Amino acid sequence: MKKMLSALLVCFLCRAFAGVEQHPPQSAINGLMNEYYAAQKVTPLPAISDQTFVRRAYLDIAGRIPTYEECTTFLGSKDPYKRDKLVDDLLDSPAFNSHMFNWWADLLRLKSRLSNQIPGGQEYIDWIKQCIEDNVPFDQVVYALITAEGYPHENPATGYYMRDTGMPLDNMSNTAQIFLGTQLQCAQCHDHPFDDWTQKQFYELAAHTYGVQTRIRPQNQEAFQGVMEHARRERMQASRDGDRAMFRAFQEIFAPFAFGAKESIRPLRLPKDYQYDNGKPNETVEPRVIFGEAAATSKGVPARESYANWIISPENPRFTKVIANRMWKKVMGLGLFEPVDDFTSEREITHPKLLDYLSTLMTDVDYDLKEFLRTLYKTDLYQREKNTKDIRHDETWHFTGPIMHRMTAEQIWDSMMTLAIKDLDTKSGPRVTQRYGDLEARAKNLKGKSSEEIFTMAKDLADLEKGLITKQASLRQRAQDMGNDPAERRRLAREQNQYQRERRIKTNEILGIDQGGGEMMGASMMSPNPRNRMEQQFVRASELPSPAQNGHFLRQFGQSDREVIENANTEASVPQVLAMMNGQFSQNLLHERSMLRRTVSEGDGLTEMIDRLFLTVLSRKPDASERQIIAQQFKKRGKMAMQDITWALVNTQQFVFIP
Amino acid sequence: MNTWMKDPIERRQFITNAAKTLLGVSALPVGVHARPTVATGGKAKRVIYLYMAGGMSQLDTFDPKPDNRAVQGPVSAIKTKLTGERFSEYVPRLAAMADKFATVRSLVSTQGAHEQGTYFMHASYIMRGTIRHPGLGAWIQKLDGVHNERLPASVTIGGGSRGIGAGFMESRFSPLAIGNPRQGLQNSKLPPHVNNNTFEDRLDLADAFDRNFHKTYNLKQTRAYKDMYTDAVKLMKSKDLEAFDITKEPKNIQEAYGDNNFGQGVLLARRLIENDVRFVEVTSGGWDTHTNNFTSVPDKAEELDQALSTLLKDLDSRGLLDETLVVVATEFGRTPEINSNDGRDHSPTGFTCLLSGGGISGGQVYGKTDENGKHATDNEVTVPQFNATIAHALNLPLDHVVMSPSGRPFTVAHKGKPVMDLFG
Repeated sequence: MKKMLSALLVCFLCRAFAGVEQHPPQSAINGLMNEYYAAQKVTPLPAISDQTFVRRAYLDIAGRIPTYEECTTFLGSKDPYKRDKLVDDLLDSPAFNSHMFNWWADLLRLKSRLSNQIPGGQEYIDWIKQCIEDNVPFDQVVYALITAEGYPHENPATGYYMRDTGMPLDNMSNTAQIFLGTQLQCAQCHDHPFDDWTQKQFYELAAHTYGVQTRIRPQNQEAFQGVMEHARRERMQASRDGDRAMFRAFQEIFAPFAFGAKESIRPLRLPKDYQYDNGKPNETVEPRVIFGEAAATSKGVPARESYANWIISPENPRFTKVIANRMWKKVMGLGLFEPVDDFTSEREITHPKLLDYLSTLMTDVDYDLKEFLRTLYKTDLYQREKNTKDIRHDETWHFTGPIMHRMTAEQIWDSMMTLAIKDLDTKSGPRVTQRYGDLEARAKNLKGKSSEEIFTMAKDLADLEKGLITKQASLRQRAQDMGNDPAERRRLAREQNQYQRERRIKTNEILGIDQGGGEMMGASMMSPNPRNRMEQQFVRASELPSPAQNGHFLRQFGQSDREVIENANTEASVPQVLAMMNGQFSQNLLHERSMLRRTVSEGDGLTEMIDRLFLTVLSRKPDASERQIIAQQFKKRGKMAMQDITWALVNTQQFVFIP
Repeated sequence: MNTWMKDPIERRQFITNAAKTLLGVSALPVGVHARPTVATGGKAKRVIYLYMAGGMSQLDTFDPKPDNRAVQGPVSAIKTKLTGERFSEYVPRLAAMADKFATVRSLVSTQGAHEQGTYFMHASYIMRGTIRHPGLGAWIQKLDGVHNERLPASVTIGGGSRGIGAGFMESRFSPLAIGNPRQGLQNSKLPPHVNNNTFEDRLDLADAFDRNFHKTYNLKQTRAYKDMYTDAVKLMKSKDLEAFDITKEPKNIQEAYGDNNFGQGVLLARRLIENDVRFVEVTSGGWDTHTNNFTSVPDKAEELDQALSTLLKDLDSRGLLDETLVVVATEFGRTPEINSNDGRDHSPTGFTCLLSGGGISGGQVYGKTDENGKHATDNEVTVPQFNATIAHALNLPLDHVVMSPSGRPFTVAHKGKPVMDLFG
């Protein structure tokens, strides 16, 4: 780490001195593009107007459409540098952080709940959000993920490994795919059919992280051992077969230490049916990187750290190019190579000089993604018109402009929210609580407790369970005696639930845990008031549970299920259209309390009201022919026309596409 | 062309196609594959798949051990229509018609946790961190197409967030999700204060505002949205929408399926398959009875008993049972041991699923478990085998390879062999 910091400092100084006489990097990109257009004899597309720019910039950088005020402030400004200034302002806004989170969530498959048993999902999400807010350089985030060690309450980055609990080989495949643009999944079971990788290489690479254990057995828990010793002295058989109540009590107490990422000595062996000449079945595999040189495999450097250093090294031929290309795609809509996570050695690159330059730029900014994006958003290319026709599969896009796309699910949701409520970007959403509640509080509570104290705690818990056995037995007897009367059965079920709840409360008392957490297993903490509950859901997509539940507006519009890397889509479907036409959200926008209606009603006279409506929804004023249509509608429908027009604007396709 | 969902062809897809040729596997377009010539199963055109989420206790439903009080707890067994075979007292209606379905008592799964077990049961492949496998509905649509192009090929009713959908296949293979069966297709009705004229008027307005946009942009994706509005409006007005509306059923039928979400979901499933939706899954939650097994299971079993018995009779009387495969599935069974919370824990080594219709020969009990109901001892059926049996009933080509975008080969039911003894 120290070495890394000093390296950062040197780079920073170099840049500070070099920066004085250099042109801003966007000029270099402009130059390269112009050179390229001339060589290819293509004409770039025209530059966009301010009104196209303001909408595009807000959607791409802030992840939502601009509000009426934001839009008119920009359009009204006479500042010749207002575009660059808007880019700077948006990059420093909380809206950018929210939008950037969606990108990370798709990439790392972030889930609020990892599973029923595995905690740490929310902690991992919060950690990523903090990294975005602090603008931690990309390579440092990757380093922290790969080398993550400990329990989720100590180091939430351990979520990177816990996300793939029980699947260490898949975890490695994902690492290679995300950070090195290298698809190794095939080589997991056999030599890669159309790439160079062998199965042996797969195993050698996987050997770097195979030692990471995510399911921590009680024997491996330091705190646990003292207590167990104590238990033995007390002649307790705290096991599944022995004193089961005591066993469960220990399980409950040590829950914060049941999952994490712990380095262990666990040799990786070739599979039993290994079929190639370069190794024997069951042979132990030593860690080895698949290309380039491993960074400092000197003595004393654990395999995982040297592996992480190898991945993020500027000398790694893929790491820098892959992230530079991903950022390029994020801004321009298409990568310089595609798919962005399959950078095979013989992949044809249409703009090799540009890709090289972007890699240099990425190392120059020390993997500061915000800084890198700043440059791209300020290029001429970003501010050109987009393609108006499809690009054929056999066609090379010369980047005469960025690529046209539909908004992502999150952009649509966040834009609808912008129309619906005020101060959207600062609202926080409902928190997803986990089975074991606040892990940090639980762990803290254990710290400083002696083995005796923990043992007493366990005994109290076990006694609680035993003491309740009589109650349990009577409930059970009643269940047995009960006839087939559904009402009686329901009554009994209610009593049983009540009993379980009381038991949970008493358990928390013994554990010394605040009653708030833990009780609502896995459910979102919801306000009991339905109105508040609804409004708690009116937040940016990044503040909702990840992913949104099946059937949610976000999922209908293609939000990633966050099960596989970058699994979002922007495909059209009937349920989406039904939601836009008849759904609750469209209805809400027509309501007089919506942000949209309030903005419109502040207009002075009908013309201004219509202007406000168009500016709020589409970031532009109506043109002459549209004004005619509007006038006709008012003639026909009187005051109701306003609602009709509002509905129609939200249901236009220009609303969901980003021209 | 299926107009339910359209998608742009991804560049990734292009690469996949290239990969197919490289690997030398069949790149035949879907729909023109050679049909297997031997069609001993193959009568089913559609599937109603009832999923008992959480792990249905085999002991307290279809595989009781009445002679072993230690494992059976307070539940008694009753006679069934089949000589010598008994079910638990919680499924009396199904016991009385056990000749209408096959009871498979020897399911074995390799997965003992819910998420992994559910995934395996639906996908036939083990859950991995690098890929999502498609569920049966997606496979049916991919290998055999849609039968009613105005409706989705597959629908899930009351499913949780663990639903397995299109997997690596394009999103148009995703099932349509219905939350509450009583509400039908979400957002398919006009809001109360909007009449048809107003609606038409608004659509025209939106079109008019978009005129310039469409003049400028002529992209597959922008056209797809234009078409989708047309399709959605068509659907809102079409008779097909009634398929989603269970209130169109006579009161006595609605009641016969049971006044609960699951029962009404099963009724909705019947309406959908009547309209040629190919795969409908109805989920019944709450089977994860680690606590209070003996008060929870009776309620769940009662819902299943009522809905399934009604469904089988209903399909039979409509002449649909032959062409419709009805499946009852779950991720695993439960332990013979009764724990201190009066519950049963997970047990994937011998559990029960049911099959009916679609060429399945009813009235048989296939496989069995040991005297504790813990391990399958006879005619073990693995999860891929079970799913291959379903696929075979549908006459799907079990060896047809479909490539994932990353170029990995997959087949429906993951090379499982169908259990031919289950067919008539």
